[in-house]
Amino acid sequence: MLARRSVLLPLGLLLAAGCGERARLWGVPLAVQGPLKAGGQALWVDGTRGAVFALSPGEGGAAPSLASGALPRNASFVAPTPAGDLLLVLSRGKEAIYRDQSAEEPGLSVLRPSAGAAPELVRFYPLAAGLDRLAVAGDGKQAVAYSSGAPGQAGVFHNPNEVALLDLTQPPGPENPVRRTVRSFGSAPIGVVFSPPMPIPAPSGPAHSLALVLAKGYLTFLDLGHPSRREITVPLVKPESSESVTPAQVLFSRETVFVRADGASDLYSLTLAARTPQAPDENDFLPSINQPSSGRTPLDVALFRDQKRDLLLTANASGDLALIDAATSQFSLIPVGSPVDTLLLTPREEPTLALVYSKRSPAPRIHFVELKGLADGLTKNLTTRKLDQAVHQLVATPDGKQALVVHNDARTVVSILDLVGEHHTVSPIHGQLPLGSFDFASGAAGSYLVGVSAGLSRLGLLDLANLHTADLRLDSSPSRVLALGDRILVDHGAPEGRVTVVPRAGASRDECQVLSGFLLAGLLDRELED
Amino acid sequence: MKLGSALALLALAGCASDLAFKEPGAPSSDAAAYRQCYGANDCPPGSTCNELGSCVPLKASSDAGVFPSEAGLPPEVENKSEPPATGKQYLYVAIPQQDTVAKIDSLTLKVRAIKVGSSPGALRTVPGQDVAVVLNRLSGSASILRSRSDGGDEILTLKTAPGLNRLAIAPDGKHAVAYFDVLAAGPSPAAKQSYQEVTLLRLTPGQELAVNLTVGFRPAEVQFDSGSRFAFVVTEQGISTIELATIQKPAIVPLVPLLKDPLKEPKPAEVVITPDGKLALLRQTGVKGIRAVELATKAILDLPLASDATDLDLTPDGKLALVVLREGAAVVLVDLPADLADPKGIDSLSTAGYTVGQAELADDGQHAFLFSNATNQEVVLVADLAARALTVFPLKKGVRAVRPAPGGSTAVILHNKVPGAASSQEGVEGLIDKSWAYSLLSLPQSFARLQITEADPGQLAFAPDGKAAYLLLSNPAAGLRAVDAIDLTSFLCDTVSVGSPPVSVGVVPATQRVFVAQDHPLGRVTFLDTGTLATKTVTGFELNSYVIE
Repeated sequence: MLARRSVLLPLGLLLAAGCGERARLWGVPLAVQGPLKAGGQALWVDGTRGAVFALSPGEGGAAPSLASGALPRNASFVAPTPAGDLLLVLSRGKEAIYRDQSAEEPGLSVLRPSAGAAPELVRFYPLAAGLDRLAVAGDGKQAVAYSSGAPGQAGVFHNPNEVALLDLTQPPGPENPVRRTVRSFGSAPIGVVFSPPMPIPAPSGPAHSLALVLAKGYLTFLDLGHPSRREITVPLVKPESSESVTPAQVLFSRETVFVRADGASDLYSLTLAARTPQAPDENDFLPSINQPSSGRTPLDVALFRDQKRDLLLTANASGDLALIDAATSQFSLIPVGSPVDTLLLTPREEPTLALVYSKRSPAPRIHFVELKGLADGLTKNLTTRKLDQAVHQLVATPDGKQALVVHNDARTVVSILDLVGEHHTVSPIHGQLPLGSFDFASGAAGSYLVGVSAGLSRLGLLDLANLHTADLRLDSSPSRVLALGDRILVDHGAPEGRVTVVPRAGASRDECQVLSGFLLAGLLDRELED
Repeated sequence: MKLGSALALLALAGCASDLAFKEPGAPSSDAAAYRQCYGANDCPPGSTCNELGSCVPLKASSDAGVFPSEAGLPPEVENKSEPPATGKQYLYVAIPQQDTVAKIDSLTLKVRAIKVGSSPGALRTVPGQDVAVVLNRLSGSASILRSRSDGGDEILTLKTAPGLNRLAIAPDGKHAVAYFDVLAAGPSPAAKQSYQEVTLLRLTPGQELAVNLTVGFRPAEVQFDSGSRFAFVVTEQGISTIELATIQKPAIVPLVPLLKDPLKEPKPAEVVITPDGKLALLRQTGVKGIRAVELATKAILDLPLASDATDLDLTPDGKLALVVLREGAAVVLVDLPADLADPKGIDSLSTAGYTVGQAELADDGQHAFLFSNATNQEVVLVADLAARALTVFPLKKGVRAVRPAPGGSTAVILHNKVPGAASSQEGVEGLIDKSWAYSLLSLPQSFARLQITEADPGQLAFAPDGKAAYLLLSNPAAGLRAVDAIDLTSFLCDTVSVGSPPVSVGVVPATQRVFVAQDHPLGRVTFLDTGTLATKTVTGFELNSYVIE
């Protein structure tokens, strides 16, 4: 008895000493975003703990590896740069409310993935708390942070029209970012689009990099090269109009910005005319508005060049296409005879073919429009291919030689459309369930379409060269598939993190590895801090 | 730079037609877009077409003071179309809600907004020049815009009498007369609007002047003599004659009465003034004959004729008056001034067997096109005014109006449409009768060609050389928005689509362009190259005035 009591007391004291007050963070759900592809890694960001997890798939026979690093908490927006070399994380920051808490300011973290290691925090730009969306220029050098306008933004006051202009090539400083409030007429930004370098005056004037802030009823030009200059607000409707017009698509030619807006029956063409500024904060250009139109309401628009002219091709609500000369607004109509609302031009650089279909009213047909000489040929340039199943989505393969036709059908899951041959063959691919997630893998083994469907624990592989199919049984139901080069990652969507790493298309089960629980790695190794 | 707002009136550098782009909820001031009819032959039998373009029973029209003839025919409806006076290069558009005039370059499509007075309305341009004059309705002023060679403008604003809404420019472009036309004022003119005040505008650079003058009651129109020495304001009380060069300060303008007894005589139905400014000729409904008034002496001379005149025209040189006697089945040619002194010299051309109620004179004064839109008669007669002879041209449809081309050798005939939907059961003739159409008539070749259209033929403009015409076609229900480019030498037509319903057309000869203004809430104008028919469209130029920096 005595031994037991003497054991119990010290044991009791020990237990009492070990059961202290635990961090409140334990009661907060994980807020994991990912997986995202950047720098050849798959990355997950947990906003609750302020952590980033990087999975390197392994190159040259090396095994996959995992690493994690710290980040500011409360990530509101995560995205890779367009080039995929950096990861950008907007965080809302954290207030120190309880004793021993440390505050974190809101801002943008720029992370550089590193093979086999945790991403390196390159820079941190402090920002205002309410900015929870980020638009990045195509070259990754500039970005604009703005507010999504979502309810529940912190603070007594919140300015939804505040934006921050960031030069991502420069360290943070008093002028980086530049905070400003965009002129508003009652609405708030819904998006930001960046122009390519635009010479003003065309063709050989100084190149201007512009950010267009889109809002309901208007858009705003910001000259990123001169962030202190005034913004230029361009209306899409008259102030007294009751029309509700929202910019939906923005395209750029050398000297003109084209906008398609929901609620508008015309396009907008904004030509940037040079002028001499009269004041230091005045711009050296002014947009001049025109509205090219075919008399039909456009649902999608594409811009291409043919015979040295900029031409706009629209898919219209009236079930036809219109070809509009961007300079003169002269137009021609091409009857299609069925609903069309989506255009896919291919190849991406200097397109020669437009694939036309309807996402809103999926139908078992695809229309092909040869773009060369379209102004002269019109309906002669249009052909139609009937399919067995309705077309829900068209995605061009990375090499542009084929297109993936996604059907929402359990039997004919996808079709592969040949874009190179003049016959545009369409090869149906059967399956068991509609495709849930897909990606394109390419490497020494060739080019593959890889796909998964939730509810089917298998990975599907389709060799795009010969359309040979293969299957790989998985240990659990997949959520998403990513291709990193020729390596394939299947994310199973488990809250603790589980992925299957397939080293290459055609690998056997024995060659694959399942990594599980990595989102909880090291969780008990250190104290969680509130 | 801040600019202005909504579009209301359109005028090419020189276009004399007032046009309004339709504002949401508001009817266009171009009544043509909303007319049910243009003549009785657009209406069912027993109806006539009133002045608002609606078919009404003949009895109702009688109650309104418009009487059928003794033979029971409905009255003629004269469809006047002012030819656009073309300027050189620019198109001017009044934007009343922004107190701005948009100036559009027909070559480059560049738009420039020019601030003027409050609510600019009537806009005219000086023939052959890029000079525009616009009336600012709410500020009681007129702005004169002169285009400079660098593309900019000189702007001068002068005070006018309040509420003026019409503008007429003298042929030499040195003067303009602004007046109030109650028919153009809409349903509710201002309570204190004066019906007897006009403003004379002197436009000579450096000598600009605005002088308010008192004239007779309710000016209906302003005509000028060919030498631009006088402006003749046609009013209910008579003609107020303004000596343009001498007026320097406000005055009561001398009035020349047109009626011997205003209490007993009917008001003039039509007044024409000879180009030398010496004579006014008028016809009165129900009066068998015409009246000539010497403007200098105020002497009145009545010329009795076999029946009342249904139309009265003057040749461009003023030497011949043509009087149409529908009930008298004749067209009377009155040589001026000789036949006024000696009526025995009057020539009468019998139109027996046909109904002729109206005449349209060719601009060379050599021919007159005779027709009636009170019946569905499918002919047009052409009077050779030199030979004093008539030729009958059978057509395939009834006639609404005739538009002679410049030069006088061709004409575009606008046809009526018999009410009802076309049906194959009625045969080809029935189908044609119930279709819209126009015809092209060549006098030298004695040839007519019928062109069926999918829409009611709208406004028409001719190329100055008479070799082409441009006709607007708009049928929103059928999705038709187009302009027919008509080659008047071959009679071949090309249909060119535009983006919005077309409302106005005119030719800019200096740039070889045709403009087509369209009904668009933000303003739309398409320019057509007369040679290639290639189009260039500028839209949303109203929005440019809202761009804010």
